[in-house]
Amino acid sequence: MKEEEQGLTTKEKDENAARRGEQALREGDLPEEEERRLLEKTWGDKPGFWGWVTSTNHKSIGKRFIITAFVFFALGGILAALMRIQLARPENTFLGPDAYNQIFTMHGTTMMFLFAIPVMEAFGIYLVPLMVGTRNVAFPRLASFSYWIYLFGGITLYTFFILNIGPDMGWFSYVPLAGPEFSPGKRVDIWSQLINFTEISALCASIEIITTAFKMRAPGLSLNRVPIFVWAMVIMSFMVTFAMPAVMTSSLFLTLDRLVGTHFYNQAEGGDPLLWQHLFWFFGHPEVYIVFIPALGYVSSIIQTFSRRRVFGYTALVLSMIATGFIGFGLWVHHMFATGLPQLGSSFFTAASMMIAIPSGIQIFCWIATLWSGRPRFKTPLIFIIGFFFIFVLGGLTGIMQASVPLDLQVHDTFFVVAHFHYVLIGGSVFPLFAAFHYWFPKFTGRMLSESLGKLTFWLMFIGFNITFFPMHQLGLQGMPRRVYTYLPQMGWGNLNLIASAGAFVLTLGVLVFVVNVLKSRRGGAIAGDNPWGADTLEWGVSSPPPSYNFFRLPVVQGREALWVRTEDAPVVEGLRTDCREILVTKTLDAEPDHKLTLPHSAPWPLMMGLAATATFISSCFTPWALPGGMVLAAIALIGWGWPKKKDEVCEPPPVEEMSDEERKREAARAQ
Amino acid sequence: MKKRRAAIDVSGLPDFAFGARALTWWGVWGFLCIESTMLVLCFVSYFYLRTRVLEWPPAPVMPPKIFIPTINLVVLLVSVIPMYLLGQAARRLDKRKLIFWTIVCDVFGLAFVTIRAFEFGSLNVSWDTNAYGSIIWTIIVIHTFHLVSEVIETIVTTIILLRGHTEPKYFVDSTDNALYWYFIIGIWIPCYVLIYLGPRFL
Amino acid sequence: MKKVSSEQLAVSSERKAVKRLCCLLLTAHCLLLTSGCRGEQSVLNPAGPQAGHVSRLWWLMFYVEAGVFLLVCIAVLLAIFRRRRERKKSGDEPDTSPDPQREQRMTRVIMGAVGMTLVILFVFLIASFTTGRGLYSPSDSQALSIKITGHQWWWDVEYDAVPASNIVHTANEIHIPVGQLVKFRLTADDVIHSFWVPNLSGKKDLIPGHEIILEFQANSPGEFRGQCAEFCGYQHAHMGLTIIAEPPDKFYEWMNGQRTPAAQPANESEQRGQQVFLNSPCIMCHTIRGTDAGGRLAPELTHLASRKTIAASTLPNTRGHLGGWIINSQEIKPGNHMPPVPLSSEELQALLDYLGSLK
Repeated sequence: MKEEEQGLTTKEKDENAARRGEQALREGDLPEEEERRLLEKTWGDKPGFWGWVTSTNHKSIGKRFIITAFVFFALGGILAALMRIQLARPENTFLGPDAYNQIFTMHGTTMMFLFAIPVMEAFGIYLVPLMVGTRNVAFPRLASFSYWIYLFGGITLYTFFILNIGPDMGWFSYVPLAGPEFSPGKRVDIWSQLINFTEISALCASIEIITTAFKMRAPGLSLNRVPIFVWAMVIMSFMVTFAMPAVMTSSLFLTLDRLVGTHFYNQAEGGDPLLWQHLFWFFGHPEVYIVFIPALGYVSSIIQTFSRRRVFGYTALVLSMIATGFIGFGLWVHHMFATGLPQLGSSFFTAASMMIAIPSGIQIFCWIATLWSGRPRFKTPLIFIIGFFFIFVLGGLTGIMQASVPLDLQVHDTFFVVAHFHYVLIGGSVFPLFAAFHYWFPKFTGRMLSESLGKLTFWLMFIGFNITFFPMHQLGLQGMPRRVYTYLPQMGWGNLNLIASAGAFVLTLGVLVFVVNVLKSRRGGAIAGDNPWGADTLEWGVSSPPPSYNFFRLPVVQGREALWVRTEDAPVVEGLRTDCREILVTKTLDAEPDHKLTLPHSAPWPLMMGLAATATFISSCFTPWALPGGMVLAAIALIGWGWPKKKDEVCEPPPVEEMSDEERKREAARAQ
Repeated sequence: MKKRRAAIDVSGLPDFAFGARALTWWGVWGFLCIESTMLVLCFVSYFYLRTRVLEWPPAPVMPPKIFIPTINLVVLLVSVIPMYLLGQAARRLDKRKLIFWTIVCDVFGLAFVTIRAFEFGSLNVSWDTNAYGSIIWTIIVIHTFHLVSEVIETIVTTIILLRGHTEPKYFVDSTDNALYWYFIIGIWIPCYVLIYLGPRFL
Repeated sequence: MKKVSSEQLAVSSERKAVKRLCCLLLTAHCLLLTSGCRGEQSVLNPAGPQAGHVSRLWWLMFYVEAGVFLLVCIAVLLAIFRRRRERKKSGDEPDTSPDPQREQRMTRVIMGAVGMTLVILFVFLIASFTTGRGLYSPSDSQALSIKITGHQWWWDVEYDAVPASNIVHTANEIHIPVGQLVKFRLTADDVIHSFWVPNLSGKKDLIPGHEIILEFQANSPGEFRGQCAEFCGYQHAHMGLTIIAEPPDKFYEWMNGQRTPAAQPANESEQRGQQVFLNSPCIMCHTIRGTDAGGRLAPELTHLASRKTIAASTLPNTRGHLGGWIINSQEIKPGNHMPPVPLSSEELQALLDYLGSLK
């Protein structure tokens, strides 16, 4: 920085850089207090609003992701409450068909795209680097971009909704209803663009997590010692990588049909409405497992901690999650049993849809075994997990029913299905998520949540949920289809609908209690300390909240339950730079130290790229020229992103021009 | 706890690495998986749409002309050679050779992007004529988008390399770029088969 | 001390909640068994063999799965509550090397549970397959064949016949003979719909560009309501249909009646009504065979007065409801494709007289 003020020539700058390499500050050079301060400065966000915006610290990014996702959860919940008010009585006039159709579409879209996936990714972005023993994610600017594009997408969608041009054709947007002929205007287009926003966000986050988990683990953290939470995030990330492109492709075709007159879904010119269904559900089915598998990671972590024993059947649990991930890609046609597909093909999907119960069952049995042989401690996180057992298992059982084609043909597209998927999604993902909130809140904030408010949250949510959704099984069997804004009084569905709406009120109360708990405890909760639960994963070995640099010294891991088996004289890693964001890259399988790498500092380019992409996607609703225009904007943002920056060069190894021939050959050889 | 703990000293490790050892290699592979999946699904859609009509292309559309596209295919395939040599030069940290081969690749890139502009005229159908036109245009436009981005990226890399001081990181970046280049050429082969040979055989 | 009592509280409130949940489930079961059985438009009130097969499969899966659910609940509760005091006393130190013999025992139990799961799933697979086979009986070329075309938000019904002059064309209300298999050829003209009459059969979709076959029969006479089960726009909620199963002789009587062209007006008022109809926008969309009205965009009205409901099984077919529908259907089904028809009171009464004569 001093050099810039002095205006040195390039040659003089280079000489300084060489000298700097020898003067680089490394771990162990300074006394502990001073070194901690230097590390905090190196890894922390710059002060002020601009520092916050340009942050590339995974914890800052993870926290804002979680808070934003929770805001969308609340918005989606309000939409659901509006739906339940309308359906409480037959022929109710609270919402007309147009409003109701927009609301149920926004509810589904918000929950699936703006809440469920982002919140799971967020927990991954925050916790995976800590759990694997490193200082940041592999691509910090990509993580920042991932957040901005998600936020802008959500804001754009809700802006359109408030302007009464929100999507109204259901969250899976079947054509031809969503096509240019039957949905004129821009409603479907903004939904289609939202897909782009949220899918890009998720895809970037998943590349992040896979790379961090495989290449940045602390020494000693071989694959057989990786925490189940990290395995879950990795499996989810692989699924995202292969499933999201399907919905991007299908929505690309839809946008093209609507914008430039292509005929992908137009049966009059050789297209087919079923093409949409195949492409969408090829994404849509893995999507629900994408949302479910991280929750399995939470369940394993929390059961292990609160049973006071290592989880039973580590290998079985990991292999089951992998199996679930694979089989999940082979089920999509069970959403299309009513579309006249050949019987033999459908039978395959029946078998696969039943088969996926087996790895889930194995996990349930292993967890029960862990609890059975452990010493369960009744804290709020474990209580939410117990709620998960009851609700998810019931949902899974109704899922097996629907795997059968003849039975599915009766209950498909009725409230029975609505009941089923809320049982598996809320039971299987939201309850573990709330368990995770209560479990990791002390680590994120340094304060404990109130146990009594936590238990109250649980009971209100558990009871409210069951009262809301259990009657829907019966409503479906009694002939009530889904996505209806009202129903005739003589159908006899009024009482059960009223009960369901009352339950929704109780469920909402539960979530409100949780919000009160969070607001109260952020400042006034009991101080948490490093490890209030006595847990085993590495994030519990640092302060709460963790310092910006995560670990003073990267640990050397001695066993699967890292903190439980750690000896007093456990070795640590030393020698990384403390004045630069240097991280240790290790080998994929056994986590042996491999090489060092400098991560970039904070940067505004992820935000710029987010804005460029937002402008492109919004204008794509209106004109095809948005694409070349967008390419120009994106090119500018990406070139800025990747262009060499002086402040980063300070931390780089010296340029090859300064190396002797021998040095060059040696360095090249070491790097192969 | 003031006693000195046992430590693994990593200060002597290299500051960069090539290939699967590098984080960016994993990042690029992730991106390639995503783009491949998207194009493979386009191929699947192509076959699906084929089953919906009696003829392919549906009458009265004629199959695409094949001359210019085949020339471009050859140029693309040949460009693998200078890119391979670029990668080798990068791995040796040989700056002069790296810049030379990068400029050769720039020339190839500009060539095949230019020929691609003429290739669109060979398709003999518009994207809004029928579903056949829609799918082949979409495949070729998605691929062209990648082609153009890659050429821009290579040119930007050239400019960075010409600056005068080249940290090892830019050599690693060049090998990542090579990976993306191979992907774009490799994925074009099935695209070419489906767009230009498909209407003659299916 | 405080910790212990709050945990005890947790335990006892857990037990209470479990009891509450069991009560909830039991009540639900009773509700299912009772009200489901009397239900119109109910899956569990089958009136034909197809729905009957599915209903039996439902009950098999329901009871087996209820048993499984109960077992899992008990296992979870036991896992948490068994020997609680004893286990709490043994301290907080995490166990990282559990007793290998106990681990082996638990492995064997889990393998057993997985084995049981496999067996149950296999039984379900066979049951599902057999049920499915039972639904697809070989098609009888003599079977009654009806073409259904879904529109936003009504059902176009055409009974296939040879020669074409024998075709019966109606809307929203379908008559079928009891005890005879009927083949439905399902398609759509605009967006995807789904044809669902739960008392008689599972559903199949109506997809533009596709024809999907659905076959079922009614074994007892009656009126069975159905509803569109694929979201199709504004008035998806009000796209109902009625299937009337009647003894074969009554059915053929009805068919013959439907084949005839519209009744001629029998008095002045009906004559006036016919005039009103032919001079209104009605003829742009509706057909009344035997008059000049030949629109194909809306339900066929030739025998409107013979139907029990109007507006796709949304309103009873009474004079008052029909009048309200004609004047402003947008108030009843907002967003539907029929515009309000501004008529004077005198014109409306005449029109209703005429339409009421179209039996």
